[in-house]
Amino acid sequence: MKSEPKLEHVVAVAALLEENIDVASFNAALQELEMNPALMASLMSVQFVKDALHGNPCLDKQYTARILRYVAAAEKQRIDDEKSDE
Amino acid sequence: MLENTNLIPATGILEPSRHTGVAHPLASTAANERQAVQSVDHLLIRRFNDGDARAFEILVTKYQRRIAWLIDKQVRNAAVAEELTQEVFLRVYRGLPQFRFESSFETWLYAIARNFATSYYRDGHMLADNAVPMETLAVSGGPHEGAPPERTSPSPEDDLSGQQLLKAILQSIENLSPKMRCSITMHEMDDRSYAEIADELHIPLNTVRSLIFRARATIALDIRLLLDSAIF
Repeated sequence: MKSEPKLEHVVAVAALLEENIDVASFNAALQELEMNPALMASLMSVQFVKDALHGNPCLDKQYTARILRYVAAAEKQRIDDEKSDE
Repeated sequence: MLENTNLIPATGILEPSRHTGVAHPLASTAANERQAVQSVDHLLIRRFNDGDARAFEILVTKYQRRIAWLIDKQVRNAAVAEELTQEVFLRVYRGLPQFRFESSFETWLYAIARNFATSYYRDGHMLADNAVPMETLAVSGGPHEGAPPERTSPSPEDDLSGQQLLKAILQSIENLSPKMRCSITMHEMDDRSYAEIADELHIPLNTVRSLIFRARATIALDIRLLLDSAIF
């Protein structure tokens, strides 16, 4: 069963979704994410809220994960191709 | 796979030949770091260029929905929009080491997305008769009347989830404290800046930021279970 993220931690990492940030808060937010990778889901939730309130509540069904998998696969292919060219 | 060439935007932000190594972004003094307010995106790019893959994931999380929406508005096909969005972020992934920090990441990203969408048409692709624009997948729009079923159209379950999520967000906003509710409504729904809200509500700027940050986090936590089942 997932543990409930604490509000303060979500607030801290959600600062990464802002336009500007002071470097100390930026580093603290990334450190928070590193210590608790599950907060990434909270970050996605906050972004969903932001987008939804701006009229874009598209249910993306793991869209971010699919993009990351696509990029990883394309990069692997590129590296393999480069090796075979050599 | 869609073929896209010559898609580097004409903004001149990317200039691979000049990439001879990026100065370490965080090489300033500790005192400067405490004071300096910088672009989050630029900091993320620098982290990514220093080898932190999570920074790229955050950039994708931040922009993927907006980019997919932007592309879909041009290509009018959710499946193609998703494929092009993936291509856009692949281009971004490969281009970030050459990013020159002379403009915003968002400007650069949108230029790439627009170029991909434009090239989609330039290369002769046509809108499929049964295309389902992405807005039909959103809570606020319904499927176009008469549109035939298509694999990207929302299932009744998805549509219900979307409506439930929007309802849950609005309910969560209702449950916020009056100042929090007022701040986030003005900022997110009325597009008012932090400064304008601070001025109107007669509260310090940092308080407005704090109220909005906490409001977003509170809403996200409130809808977490519903959202988990809907999109994660």
